[in-house]
Amino acid sequence: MVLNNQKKFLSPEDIDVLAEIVERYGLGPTEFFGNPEVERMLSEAKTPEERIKIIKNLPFIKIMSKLEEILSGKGSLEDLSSFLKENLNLPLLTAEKIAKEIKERIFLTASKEKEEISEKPTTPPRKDIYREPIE
Amino acid sequence: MNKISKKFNKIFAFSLLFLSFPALAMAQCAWWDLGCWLGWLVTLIFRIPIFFFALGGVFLGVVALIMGLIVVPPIVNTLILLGLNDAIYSPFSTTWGLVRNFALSLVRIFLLIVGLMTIFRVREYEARRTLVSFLIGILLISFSFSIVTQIIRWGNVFTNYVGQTFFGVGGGGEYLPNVGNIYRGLLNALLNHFGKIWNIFTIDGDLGKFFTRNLFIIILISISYWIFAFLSIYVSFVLIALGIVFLIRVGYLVCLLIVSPIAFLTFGLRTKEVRQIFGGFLNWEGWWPKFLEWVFIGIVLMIWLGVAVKIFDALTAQVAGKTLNVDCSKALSGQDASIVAQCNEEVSLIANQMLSFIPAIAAAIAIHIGVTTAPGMIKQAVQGIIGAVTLLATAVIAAATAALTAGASAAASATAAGASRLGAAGAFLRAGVTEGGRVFTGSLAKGLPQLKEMPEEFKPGVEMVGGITRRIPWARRPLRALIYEREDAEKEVERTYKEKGAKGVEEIVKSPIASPVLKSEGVRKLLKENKLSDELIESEDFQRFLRTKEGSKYQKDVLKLRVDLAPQFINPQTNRPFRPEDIIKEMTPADVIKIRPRALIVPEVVSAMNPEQADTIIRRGSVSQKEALAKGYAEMLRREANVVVDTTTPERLRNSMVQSFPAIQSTIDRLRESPHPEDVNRAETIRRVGNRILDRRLSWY
Repeated sequence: MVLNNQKKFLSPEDIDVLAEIVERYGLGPTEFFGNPEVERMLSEAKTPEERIKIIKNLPFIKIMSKLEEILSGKGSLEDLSSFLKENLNLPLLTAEKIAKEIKERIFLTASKEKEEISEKPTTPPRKDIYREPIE
Repeated sequence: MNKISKKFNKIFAFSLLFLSFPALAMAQCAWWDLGCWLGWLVTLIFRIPIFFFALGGVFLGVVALIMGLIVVPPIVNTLILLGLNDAIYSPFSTTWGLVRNFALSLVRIFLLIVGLMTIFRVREYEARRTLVSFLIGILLISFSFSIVTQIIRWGNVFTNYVGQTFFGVGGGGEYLPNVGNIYRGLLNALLNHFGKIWNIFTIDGDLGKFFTRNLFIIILISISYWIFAFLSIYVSFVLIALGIVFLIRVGYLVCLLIVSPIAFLTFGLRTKEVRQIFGGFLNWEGWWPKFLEWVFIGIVLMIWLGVAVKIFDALTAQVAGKTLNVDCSKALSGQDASIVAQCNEEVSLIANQMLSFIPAIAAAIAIHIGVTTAPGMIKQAVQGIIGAVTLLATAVIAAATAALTAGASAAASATAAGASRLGAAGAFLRAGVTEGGRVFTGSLAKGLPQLKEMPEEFKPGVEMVGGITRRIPWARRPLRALIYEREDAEKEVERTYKEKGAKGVEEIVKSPIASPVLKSEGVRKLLKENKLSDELIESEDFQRFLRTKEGSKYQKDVLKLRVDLAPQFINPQTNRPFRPEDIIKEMTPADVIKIRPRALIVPEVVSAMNPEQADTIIRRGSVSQKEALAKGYAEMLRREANVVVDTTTPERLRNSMVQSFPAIQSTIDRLRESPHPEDVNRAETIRRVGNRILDRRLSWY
């Protein structure tokens, strides 16, 4: 697997991918304002600090923080499945599936870019100006 | 084009023939000196136009000086007296009464609406607070005439007090310094100097001397008349502009007095609806600053007038009895004594007249500064008048420069051919007439149609200058005032962009003398290259240009970059200032991505954006755009939700937003329930951008 070493932080498109994965596996909310579930959770908090804690503990934010750690070199991508299993209480199989998907769709963009470049049209073959087309 | 050219050539040829015979008597040649006669006849081609040019200067000078002496001072005094007269406003009480009745009837209608809305519980207006506003509004409307006229009276009294007490100006209805003596002296000097005009014909006919020295001298003679004219025109224009400002002040104050009941109505009822109905001067926010500006503008002008009078008195005493003696011998070393003497005489005359005119010019400059501090359109009008005078002066001086260049080229050709006075008369004729005439008449005929916006008298000179601009690099900058063809403007802009880059083009746009077409091309180029700087957009001169006919073509394109400046421009469709949403709703994603961070930091801009446009910045914007968007959003939250968030880092912003989550959420809910679509859009923008901040899509690293 070739990792994209240029990447230092998550782009909005990476976060789109992550939000889609979190939603598909039913890991919790990915939107905050206008979301009744988040509203209810935060209304139960007694202090502003408690609200920060609740948001930080949402699976979506937890995974994102972990991915940022990995990108900044403080964590390893290999530990992602064990992190998901321990912190989100997921079965090992699901955690590995999610980790694999994250690796492929967020961290392996360099190989994808290569593909995109290769898809560009190549130079058309030169016309033989001495030969008239047969109609 | 051809018609004008042919007509001009006919007049020129006729003048040449008509003046040749009597002028022959003025040629200082012995009867047997054929070379002298031939040379004199050849140089007539230069002498005649210069003679007419000088004659025009004499005529303009005499008219301008007589106007300055007799007409200008009493007119200006009368205008200032009129402007500071309180009695002017009383007759307008009837018209004011009509507007007052209209404003009071509006109050009744609003009261009815509030009553019905409250009864049927359509909308809560907090009846007690609203009634107090209505009461204040009614009182202010009813007494607006007395309030406004009293403030104007205070303004007038204070203006006269400042003038009389501090500067001794305005006592006995005399506001201007005694410029009569100066004008009279100048008029006498001009009439005495008129005799020198014949030197144009009597000066030596020797071809060699003519093209190297004498042409310079006769041009100097003709320019000296124009200098008299322009100095007095400048002083007269500035003084008249001062009077006109006082006159326009009356016009403005009368209008503001008449509409004052509506302005006071909007002051009492500060609701969004009322502000929407009455925009511009009718609204308190537009009316009050404009009113104060015009009431007290007199004080500012009086201070400058006082300063001008003091400068005038001091300098008059300083220059009295002084004369300047100019010595041309160093500059013309090794030349005939007669040429040096002629040069001394002409240059001394100009220098001494300048000296006697210094007090008036210095005083005029002080008034010029004062007048250009006048608000809005007056400033523009005055600058326009003075700009036109400057342009004319430039054209005259440039025309003279061109004539000199033509002469010099001819002389150079002749020298190169090694022509002697007689032996090579034929060669000299070809060289001199071909080269000089080519610049003088050839380009004249070619370029006439390009000078649509120049006064007729100056077209020949200006066109000649256009012909030589490519050969004289230092002449390019001042001659930018003369570029009126779009194709030429485009070439000049491209050339500048290649040589000096965007900064060079910005200089063209900022230049006070560049023609509107040239400026317009400059703006187009900067927009195309996306290099229009914020400093340029924010400058007052550039914004003034955007309000002109030529500049308005780019108004929307510039406002798309700086949406925050939209309210400073009038929307031609509604005749009211643009709102940020008027500009933003027309923007494509490609436009959105170009919005400047300085615009995004403004909450009105963020609140006018739709959620998709905010998303475009979040996904495709630069780091500084994202940071500005976050800051603009934070300010929007402070206004809408009364929530203060920390924007120093993305993390702090996230935490402070989570801390204030309930307040922000309740604001979103409240705005969503509003019947106004803008409020619903705002709710969605707050929600979408808020989510993008919390989910870290909106971060700036």
